[in-house]
Amino acid sequence: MRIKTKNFLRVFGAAGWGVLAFSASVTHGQPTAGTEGILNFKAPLENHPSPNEAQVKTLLEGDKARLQTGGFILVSSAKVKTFSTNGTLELVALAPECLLDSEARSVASTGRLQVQTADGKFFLEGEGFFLGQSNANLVISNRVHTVIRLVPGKSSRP
Amino acid sequence: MKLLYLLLTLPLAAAAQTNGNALTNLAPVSAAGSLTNSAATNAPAAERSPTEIFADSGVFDRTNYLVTYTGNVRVEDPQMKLTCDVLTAKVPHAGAKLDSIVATSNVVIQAQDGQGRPVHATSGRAVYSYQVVNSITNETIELSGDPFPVVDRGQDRLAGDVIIWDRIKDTFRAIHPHMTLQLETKKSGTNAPAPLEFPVKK
Repeated sequence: MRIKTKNFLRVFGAAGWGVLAFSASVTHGQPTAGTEGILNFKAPLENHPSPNEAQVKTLLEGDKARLQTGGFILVSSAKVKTFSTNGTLELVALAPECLLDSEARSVASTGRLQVQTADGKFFLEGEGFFLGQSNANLVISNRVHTVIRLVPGKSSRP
Repeated sequence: MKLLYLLLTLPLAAAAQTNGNALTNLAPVSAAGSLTNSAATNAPAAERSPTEIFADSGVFDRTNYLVTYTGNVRVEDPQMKLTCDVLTAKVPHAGAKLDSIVATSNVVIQAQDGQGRPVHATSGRAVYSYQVVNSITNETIELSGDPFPVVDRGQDRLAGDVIIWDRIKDTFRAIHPHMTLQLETKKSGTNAPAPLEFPVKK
């Protein structure tokens, strides 16, 4: 199991994720990687471009993460959060499970996905998704459903 | 004996309204079929029910906050139903509001005008715009593209290169309006000519 943990951490190192942060459970005080994998998993997927390169743009969180073959990491109760350049939360995507490709820095799942803006005006759900880092696109494969709430002003109706 | 009759389904306006869109050759038509010249009164708008979009698949451009829906796209709100092949919507976020939804390819709209009469519209492209500027709501649907837009309201039919439906003022305006000519033939005729449709020459 110790070897597994070392490999797990090496995967991120090979991908050049210098700022990768494992948020440990409070009781342990540091990342917990055992038979159940890592708890309270957090991994920044990308930062904003210059001049805001220090700000995380996309953050992947999960209650649990387990190393899979081929450099994949299975993340349970996943949350993908998108932040603005000043650190304000803009978007949250929820998935019961997803696979993180540690080399391509992409996230994918055949399961359900729910996306909501922080202000609650936009909600999107679907089945099966792929979030790539190369073009910043989130692809939802099946049964897409969106709810948009418009905020009315005064009507110019005569 | 053939009888030629003209089905001119749109009242042509002598003067075109500009409405800030720098459009020319416009033919404003009210829901009742007469010309309109409505003025803003700042009447409070009713609370809107959410707009829902259904599709086979979608792509969320997180940089520009645009979602592109493809395959059996369907938009539903209490006042309108729209179907098309591809639809792009700007995602309202971080204080920004939804400003436009662009539908392309096989656009079909089923709605009601301000008088509660059914409106059936088809076009190659439709742009739904919703803006609140200085607490004033502007909501329009601009129809264009190939096939050219046609709005059918039962007793009348409007066609043109571009049709702008002001959802707040409940008016339809056409740019380069089209008219329909139909030849009446004998009932027993087998080689009935198809209706002719062509742009109005200005």
